[in-house]
Amino acid sequence: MNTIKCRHVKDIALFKHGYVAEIELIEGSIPQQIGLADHIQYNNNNLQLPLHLVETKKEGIYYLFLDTSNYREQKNSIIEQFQYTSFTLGISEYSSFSIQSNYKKMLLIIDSSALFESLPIIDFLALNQINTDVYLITERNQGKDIDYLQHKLGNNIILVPSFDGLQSIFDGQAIGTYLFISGSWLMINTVTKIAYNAGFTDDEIQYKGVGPKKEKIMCVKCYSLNENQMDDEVDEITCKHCNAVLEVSNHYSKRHVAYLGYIKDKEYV
Amino acid sequence: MNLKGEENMTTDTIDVATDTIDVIVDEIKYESPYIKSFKLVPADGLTLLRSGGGSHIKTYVQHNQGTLENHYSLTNDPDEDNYYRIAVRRCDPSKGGSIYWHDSITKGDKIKISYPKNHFPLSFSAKHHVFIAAGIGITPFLSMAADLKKKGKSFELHYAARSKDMCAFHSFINSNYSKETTFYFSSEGNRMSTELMKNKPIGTHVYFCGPESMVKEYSESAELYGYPTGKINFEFFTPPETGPKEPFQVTLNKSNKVIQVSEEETLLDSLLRHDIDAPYSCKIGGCGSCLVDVLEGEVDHRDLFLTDKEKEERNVICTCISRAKDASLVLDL
Repeated sequence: MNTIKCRHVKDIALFKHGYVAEIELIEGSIPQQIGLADHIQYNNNNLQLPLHLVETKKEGIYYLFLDTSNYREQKNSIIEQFQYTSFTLGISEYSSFSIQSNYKKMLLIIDSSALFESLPIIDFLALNQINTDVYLITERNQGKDIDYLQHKLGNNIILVPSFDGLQSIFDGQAIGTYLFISGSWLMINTVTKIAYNAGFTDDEIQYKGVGPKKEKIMCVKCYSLNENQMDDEVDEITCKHCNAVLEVSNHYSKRHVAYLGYIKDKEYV
Repeated sequence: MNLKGEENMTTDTIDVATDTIDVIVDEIKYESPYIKSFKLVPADGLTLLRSGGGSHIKTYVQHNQGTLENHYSLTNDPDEDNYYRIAVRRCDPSKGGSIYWHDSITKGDKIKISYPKNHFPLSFSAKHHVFIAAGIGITPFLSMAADLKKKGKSFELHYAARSKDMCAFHSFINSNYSKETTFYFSSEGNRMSTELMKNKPIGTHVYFCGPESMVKEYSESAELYGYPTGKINFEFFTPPETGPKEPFQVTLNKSNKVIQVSEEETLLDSLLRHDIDAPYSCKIGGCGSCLVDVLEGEVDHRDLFLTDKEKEERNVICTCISRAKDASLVLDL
């Protein structure tokens, strides 16, 4: 972890679940164009909350994206105290998203739950002058977050109410287009399947899920799907459809979006 | 990425009594002034195994210096089970293989071949295939095109040759794949360019087969145009030039032997010379058949089979082409 000291310069935007500010780096350095931290220290406060930093075109000036979802009640007072003060951050490596020099175009497919978390990526792509289209899956057509995106991307932000039109959008893409999908795990699975169908491969898709991932296990006896309700991986599970005890294999089926569960107890065969 | 040695010859005396098929040369045809095709039918009159598009066989021809061992792509329709067809370009200078095939093999000769192998397969997930061939590099694409055409799949073929006369299978391709094919004849000032790979639909996979310089140029351009490495497939005729060769020593953990590898030979050659039962196939660092676990020492990876990540993370060596970075290696062999 890399400790840096910064100071607040000005507010940029305030959203329901977060806050964006322009800050200046006073001490230390950020090795990547996107930095990640899990807490912020200022005025004797130590807040545990995720934040991202993105480089801007001005030297030493960064955008800070503060996710205040866990501090809904205190959000306004936190931001008030934070304004025009200096603070310390422990920056760690950001691994959720990266680009290669041969990326010609990015398509971001995000749902409302991942919108704030995706804003640093959108700023990062703009900074690197990557041709970017954002498809936001939402039934809303207004909001401060959407306004922010429209200001950043102009006509390149497209609001879509469902997955229906995605197949033709994906089919129309050319080599050099890469995908970033972020939202619920169900949304990611659905969009990934559509992308494979259009000819995208795993090398061309990055994703970030919101919330814990509930893996599915397919029973090889009755071919039904079971969801792992635990937060951690499990070695075995009882099929809720036929009661067979299943050994969870590491054989993952892209078609079923599930791990195969082999019958553990022979009496069920 | 894949590759195969079209002109990969050894004079080692090897036991080919098992795992080979006896075939009879049933027909020999000139496909161009320097390329002959050979139709091989099973000696026992039974059927041959079906192959996949892009498959090749190894041929074993008895020669006064030993057994000539060569790899050739199958050019026939993969569904064909009555015969295999290969095409051989006469190479001057030749290590012996192509000259022997051109000058000494005659109709009715009986030879041994391996079962078909495929180090250059078609992608199952591709929505569109772009084949790019230079000269004799056309051969694997003939079986691939037959396979795809029959299945109604989308493909295009770009084929560069010196002239129409030197363009093997020209009339066959024109009769069967005229809509899908573009020819480039340098004698007419029409040179093939990497630009043809630009702006293809997202489900496109590209395949190259030709001389090392051509394959390198097209692979590098494809990456530059945005193709991920998984969509770039290629095959070489000869081992790529991989830099200076220093002698080194290998200690074999299981065989309890210490072997010196000279600068003139590969690690695989050295292992085989010492009667070590080392696995191999393409002999030019493309198929991964010869991978062996490395227990100690740092590997100078020269193959094109392992990805950069695998080269960093896995302690393995392609014995047919890679060498030791320092003076010695310990192998789990």
